Amino acid sequence: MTPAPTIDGILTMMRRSRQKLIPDGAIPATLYLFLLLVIPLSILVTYSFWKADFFSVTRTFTLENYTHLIDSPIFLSILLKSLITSLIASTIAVFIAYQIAYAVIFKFRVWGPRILVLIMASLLSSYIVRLYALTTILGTNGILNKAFISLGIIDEPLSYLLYGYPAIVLTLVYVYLPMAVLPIYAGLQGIDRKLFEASRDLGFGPIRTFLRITLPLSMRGVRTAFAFCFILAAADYVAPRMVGGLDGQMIGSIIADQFGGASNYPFGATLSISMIFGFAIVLGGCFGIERTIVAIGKLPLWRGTARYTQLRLPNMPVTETVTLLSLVFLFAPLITVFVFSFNDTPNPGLPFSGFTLHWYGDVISSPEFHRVLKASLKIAAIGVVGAMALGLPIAIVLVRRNFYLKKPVNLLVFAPMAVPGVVIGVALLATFVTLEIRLGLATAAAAHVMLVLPFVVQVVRARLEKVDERVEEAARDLGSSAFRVLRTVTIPILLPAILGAGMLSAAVSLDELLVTNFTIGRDATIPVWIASQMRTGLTPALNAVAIMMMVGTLGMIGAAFYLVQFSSRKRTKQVQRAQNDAR
Amino acid sequence: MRKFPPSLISGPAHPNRRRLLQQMTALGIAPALAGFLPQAAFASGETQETINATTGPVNMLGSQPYETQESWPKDLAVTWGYNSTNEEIITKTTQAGTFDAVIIYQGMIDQLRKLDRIEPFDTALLSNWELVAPMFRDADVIRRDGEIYAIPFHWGYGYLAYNADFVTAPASYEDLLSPNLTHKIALPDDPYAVITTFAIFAGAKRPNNLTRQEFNDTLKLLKSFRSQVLTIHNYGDEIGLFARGDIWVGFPEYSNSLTKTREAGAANMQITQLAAWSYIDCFMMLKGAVNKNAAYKFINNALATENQKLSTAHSLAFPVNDAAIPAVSPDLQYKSAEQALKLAPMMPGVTVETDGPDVPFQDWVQAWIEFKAT
Repeated sequence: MTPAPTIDGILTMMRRSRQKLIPDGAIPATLYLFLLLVIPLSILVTYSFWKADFFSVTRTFTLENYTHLIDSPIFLSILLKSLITSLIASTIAVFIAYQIAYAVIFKFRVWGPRILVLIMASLLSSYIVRLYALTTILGTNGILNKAFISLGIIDEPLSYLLYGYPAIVLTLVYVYLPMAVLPIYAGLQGIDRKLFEASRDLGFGPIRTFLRITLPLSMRGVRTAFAFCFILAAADYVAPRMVGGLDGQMIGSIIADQFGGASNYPFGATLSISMIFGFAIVLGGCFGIERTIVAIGKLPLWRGTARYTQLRLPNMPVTETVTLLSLVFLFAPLITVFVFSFNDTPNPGLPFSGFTLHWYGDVISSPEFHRVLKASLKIAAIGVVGAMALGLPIAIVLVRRNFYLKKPVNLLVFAPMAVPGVVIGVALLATFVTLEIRLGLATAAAAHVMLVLPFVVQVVRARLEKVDERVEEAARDLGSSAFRVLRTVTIPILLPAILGAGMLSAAVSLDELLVTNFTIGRDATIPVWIASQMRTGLTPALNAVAIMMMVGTLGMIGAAFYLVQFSSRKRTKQVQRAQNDAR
Repeated sequence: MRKFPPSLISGPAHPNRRRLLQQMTALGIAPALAGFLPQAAFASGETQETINATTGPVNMLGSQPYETQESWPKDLAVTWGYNSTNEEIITKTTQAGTFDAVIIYQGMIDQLRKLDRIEPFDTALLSNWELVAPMFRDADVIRRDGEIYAIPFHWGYGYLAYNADFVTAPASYEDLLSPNLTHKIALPDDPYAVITTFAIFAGAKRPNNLTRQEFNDTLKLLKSFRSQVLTIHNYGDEIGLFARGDIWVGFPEYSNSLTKTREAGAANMQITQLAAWSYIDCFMMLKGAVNKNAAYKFINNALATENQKLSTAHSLAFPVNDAAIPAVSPDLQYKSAEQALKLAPMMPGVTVETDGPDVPFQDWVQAWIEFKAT
């Protein structure tokens, strides 16, 4: 016998019947990602089932590439090595990032946002130049060894600081730590402070409050941060190669080689797919472990330990100290870049042989730099504007609407971050060439829109999730049209997040190398230009470029925040004036 | 030492193909034959004069050291695309018409021909062709099937560099196995360069043309050397590696790294010709080039003595025009290319054909990838 329908059940059915397959706001971004990511990747998947000849492909179905992979312990072991190294690095990065985000929100109070900006600012100069600065610090005759020797701590330079697994892990933590902070920060910021008060009122100590409230409610941010770090670090091959010595060969490097000198696209595609499967297995495993730990935590056998979790710890500034040490860690290479941009030798590192400004003069007067700067700015501008145009509607829709394809669309939006840059680059190159689309600034900009889209969606979404939907409902109840609600309520509330997303996207776009290199044709951006300069060795001129990039971007951020504050004050005054007039 | 007649170096005082073509053009013979000629027949309607009169855009793909803007023809609008590794040439020339010509070492001819990316040159259109030293102009390594596929631009040799503050000059392969050098040696991430060098160490007579047995012996030697290696670096990184004291020996290294490493602080850097070999960086004309005349003009201009001096000073590579030798860094001065080449023989490049007796380049690359991944 069929049970009688309940009122809740009827309401659910009614809501479901009004659900769309996909709302209008999500269609442009979904279509865009389908064209620039799904189709190119499908082509790449197809490649993995084709037979490779040197520089050519025979389009007959084969499983040869997969059997070759399974039969080659070298490739499987390097895949495993990359996943394990990344797992360790991302665990450390997330652990530190959590403490930073916690301190920024709960400890530093008014200084919190400033510290967060500083942490994000460490991303705003060239990735390659920062890595080189790290080698200047950690090298045999590097700054650290020289400092230790001069202080009498050691007699001989420590050779293990560079070239080996510790150096690889340290560098990956350095590179991805700022990216881990942001999602955790967003997760922690969304926690209602009243819950802490309630916890205290119930007599819970800080450990129990943390374990029962703070950690569970911020786990979404932790998961996002971990996934970002893990995927990006596992696919990164530039950093491990620069600091890892013979251990620095990672799966990303092998994939790049297959698409480069080996010109074995089918096997490169097979390795790429295996890597993505590897990501899925590791992340699935991690989240499974997390669920198991949570389940174990709920078992009655822990009841006897409740008194320990009610302990009050001595008030030690642990998270504050970790944050300040992290700032030192993140800024030491930047300070090195800054100092050595004035070095009067052609070497961007030690020894420092005298002060000069001529590297800045060389860069500023270089017509090539002007060309690549213009190209970089154009691509970044199109990338940011395009990603905003596509990302804002889909972010709003993902938060505010339920629809049948929500989960797949959600996955699709974040896919550009999950697929390694070299794979996206090659897939796009193959697609553009097949469709006879001329490579150049336009193709590179189209790729950048896709690459920065997840950053825009993630940041805007995190902000929107904390905005009370009833504010928008109230505006609608007062007779505002949907567009007016968007213009006068939603967008103003989201403005800081939009600006933050824009800045983050600009920073990502300005430093993007892997995809750009494949899609830009005869043009060049600053990272492509820097990579080409590396062939004859970096010079302090590139330090100067990195510093100018950072100062320029920080200037833009400053201007943007000033504009936001200015418009916010203006708005407050208008409201006050209106209230006074009403009185 | 083999001497070349001065006329071969200084100018076209003898009848040559260019002059013959000019005369044939004047008589209307060349245009009549044009339809029967192979790809280089593009040139039949062109002369040195039409090439030199060309203006407008040209799109070059090369590495940053050869981007010597002051030497470029002022009436050409040059767009310079960058390749940061040799292998990038393959991906960056995928779309025909993106670039007109590329600069790459002569060993890539077979790969680019196999991909149908390059076409032969008509050197009759290059008024400065005769300025190229005969050992480059007449070299087999730039020819295939009797046609010239690469115009020499600069050359160099891969040598062994060492920091004399820490080590004495290695005189043999055994010297490199010294425990003192464990983890103090770096190799570049370049299968062609490293395997060629180890093939020389392994005693191969033709280090670019290895039989399967020779290839296996070379790889065995390379693998046994692994414990001595600190890192496999990108070109350019060796300067910092030496300057920071991370490594004491590197091979093969090139002319720019010696000078720059000294400038960077490793003042006592020295070189030896142990297992040295030479290469030529060449211009190659891409099929489907949109601005072919302009590319010819650019290439011709690059061979002129003054421009060779400028690009030599900028790139620190050796000129193919011997008159530009004075511009070579004092550290690496030589009297003639012929003399220098005796110390480091020119390599022809590795075959890409899989049905011959020699191990093809694709096997070199895969072996190198596996060596790095091990």
